[in-house]
Amino acid sequence: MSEILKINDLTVNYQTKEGEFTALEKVSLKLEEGTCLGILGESGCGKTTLAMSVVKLLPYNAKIIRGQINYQGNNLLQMSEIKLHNLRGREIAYIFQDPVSALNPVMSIGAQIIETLVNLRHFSYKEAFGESIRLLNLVKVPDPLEHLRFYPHQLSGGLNQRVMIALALSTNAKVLIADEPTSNLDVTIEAAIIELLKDLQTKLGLSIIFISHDLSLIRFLSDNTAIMYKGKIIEFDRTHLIFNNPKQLYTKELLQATDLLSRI
Amino acid sequence: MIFKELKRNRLFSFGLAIVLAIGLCAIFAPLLTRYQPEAIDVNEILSSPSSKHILGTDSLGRDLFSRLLFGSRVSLKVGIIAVGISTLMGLILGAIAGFYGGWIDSLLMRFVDLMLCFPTYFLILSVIAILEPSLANIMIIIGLTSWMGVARIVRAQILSLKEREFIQAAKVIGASDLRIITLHLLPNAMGPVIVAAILGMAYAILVESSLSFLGLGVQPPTPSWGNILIDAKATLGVAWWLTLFPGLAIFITILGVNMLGEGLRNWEKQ
Amino acid sequence: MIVYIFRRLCGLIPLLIGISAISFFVIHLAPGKPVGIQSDLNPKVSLEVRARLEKLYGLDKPVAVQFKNWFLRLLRFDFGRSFLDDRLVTEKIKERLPITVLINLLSLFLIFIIGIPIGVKSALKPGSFFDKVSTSLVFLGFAMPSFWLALLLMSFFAVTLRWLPVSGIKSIDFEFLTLPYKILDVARHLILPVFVSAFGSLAGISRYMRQGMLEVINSDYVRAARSRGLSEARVIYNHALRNALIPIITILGLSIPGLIGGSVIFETIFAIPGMGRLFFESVMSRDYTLIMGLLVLGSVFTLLGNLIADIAYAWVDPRIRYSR
Repeated sequence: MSEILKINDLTVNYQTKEGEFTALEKVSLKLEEGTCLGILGESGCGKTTLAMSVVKLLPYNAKIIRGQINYQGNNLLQMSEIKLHNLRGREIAYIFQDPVSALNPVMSIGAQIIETLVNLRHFSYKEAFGESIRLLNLVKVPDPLEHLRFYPHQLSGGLNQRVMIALALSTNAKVLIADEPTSNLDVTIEAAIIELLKDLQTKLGLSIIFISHDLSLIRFLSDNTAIMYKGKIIEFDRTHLIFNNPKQLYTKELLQATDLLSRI
Repeated sequence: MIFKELKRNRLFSFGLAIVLAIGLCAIFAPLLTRYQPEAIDVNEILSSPSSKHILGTDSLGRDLFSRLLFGSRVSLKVGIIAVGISTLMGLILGAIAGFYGGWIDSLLMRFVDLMLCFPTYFLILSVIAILEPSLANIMIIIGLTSWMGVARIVRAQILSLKEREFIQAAKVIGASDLRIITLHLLPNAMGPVIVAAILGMAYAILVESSLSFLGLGVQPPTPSWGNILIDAKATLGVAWWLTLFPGLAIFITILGVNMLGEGLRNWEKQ
Repeated sequence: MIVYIFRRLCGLIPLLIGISAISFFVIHLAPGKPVGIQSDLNPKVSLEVRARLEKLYGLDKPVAVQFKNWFLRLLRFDFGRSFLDDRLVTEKIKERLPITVLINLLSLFLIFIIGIPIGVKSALKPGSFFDKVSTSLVFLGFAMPSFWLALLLMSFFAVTLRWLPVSGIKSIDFEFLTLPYKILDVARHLILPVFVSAFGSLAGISRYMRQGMLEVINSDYVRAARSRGLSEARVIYNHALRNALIPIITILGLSIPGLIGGSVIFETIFAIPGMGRLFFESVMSRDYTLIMGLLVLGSVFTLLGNLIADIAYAWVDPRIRYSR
């Protein structure tokens, strides 16, 4: 399998009032085409920074100190803003943690999907309308025709996340980065969303970076897993190897802790 | 330590310096000038700034510099007393609304909405028309018509503090409402109130000078920055110093007070 | 939406009663005894005035009856006749209203087209040269007394340079001009007043706009829009600006009392025969009925302005539009 995305030696610092601190330190990872890469870590360990740095959507006080991010052989960090712009969405799409805040509150669901289709993929409005219904069907939103007219605040969190996934798919991207896409949802809805992602991955041949603090989700979804701790990747391997035979102390502790919790 | 903080919060330091300077001018006004602010000199009518009259004279030959010095007394007095009244009112009404809630709260907040319906100056001018444009009346009326912001702030603060454990604890011990409000709630809500009070001072100074400029505020011959400018309007194009300096005095004072307030707000946020 | 408007209208009723109550209270401050003559504003009419007020408002009757009568009169927009020339108060106000409304609308427009772009531009690059300059100017603008600004502009553009007329809204030869020149003449007279009246709110609006835009730009949905690869212009104008503009509607609504109140100042300075100047004249001549009429109407206008702002807000924000 070929590598679609390769991160090499990536270091990112944040400038704050108290001084500089390192959010990512010498991170190296690779994503193989058509697979799912899980990134596991506690909150605040730099998972989101990693996700955001892939297409340089970092907050303005963040600075990439060094490293490369290669997408199909091109280093994103040395790419011009225009080229980078063409990559965002068209090649790599995001799914955010909180679907309600990641959808524009003053635009209807349909307007947001159609906007993307018309502007990115140059559909006519009529084509875009049909395509948006197909997409909502694909992510299993009931009654797509009716839901197109709804605004985000009128839908449940689970439905909003499905819409968010539909929006990500509307860009026709090959790589999907999902940053804790289910942490704001109920457990039953979480399961359904994860099923959907798995389903889409095989159906559309997507490559996915799945970021989570939940071991069971990572175990279910990802082919490879990276364990992140304080801005560093401390272990990176096939998922079954990590879960059956953890090498690092931190990974072992993490697994034991979850084990304990599940037994209570 | 304090010096270092002052250097970091430049807004606050500049504001403080300006306000202190004006305060000192107001206090020591008689020592800073040779001229009586109300002394008319027919030989010196509308003379431009010179070594004799450093900021020139007005249409009655009165020394502009001393009129401005004594005018600062009016401005500061209005600022302090009007804000004292409005802050006190805002504190009391806001605390009652926030602490008791329920219908008392909705009634008082409706009253706040109501007071905000009147266009700026309309209520003040109506009352002045009926009473009398004296300094005391102006200070009271400005105070009575500008407490709404403070009331809202105090109410919001108290609403958020009320449920905290130390207040609940005080209630359990059996402390009286008055004691809880004055000893526990208000001191914890003071930060934003002080900022609002200082910014309110700028508003009061501005309103007084506008009223005096319209001839409905401080009455001549008592100098006020606003009523000095009446003369400026009459001599537009003849005596530039009469337009420039009094306005500059108002402008710099309000700027200083605003800087002080904003600087405090920056501190308060941390 | 209709339910929302209806509810808002119902909410106005207590405020209307309150406005009439406060103005009723103000009349009761009217002098009952002769006031000293130290103030030249004070005509020696106090006793006579009191007698007329008593007759007009029935001040000799019990307070409850007085208030009921007063309120019923207000509902009929009956403010009585001017003390000065015995003309109907409503009529006097009606003929002064259009010019004030025109100037206020023009200055709202000016605030909109200047304040908002400044705020947006500084928010897009916080800390840039433009942002620093505009932030400082806003700070200076807040401290600028509008009547002093009016004097400065008057002495510079009208007296020194003679580019613009000093005051009034028409030149002396207005009657002899052809229509296009008439319009031009009025426009030239309005430039300074409109600018001065807009100036006060300009600083505020651009500052709120900057703050609102900064918040929106760092929000998830703007980042999400960007991550979808939409063009920067689309992200800024279609996603960010649309959301940041919503709270500005409320701020514009809140600036109405300041605008109406400010018209007293600049209409007096520029000698514009509008409602603000009428108010000033009525205060100077102690024309109590006219003062009361203007006080009540001025606040009713504010109320209506706020109502329109609220409805506009609800209309552009689907979160309110589609809720009960």
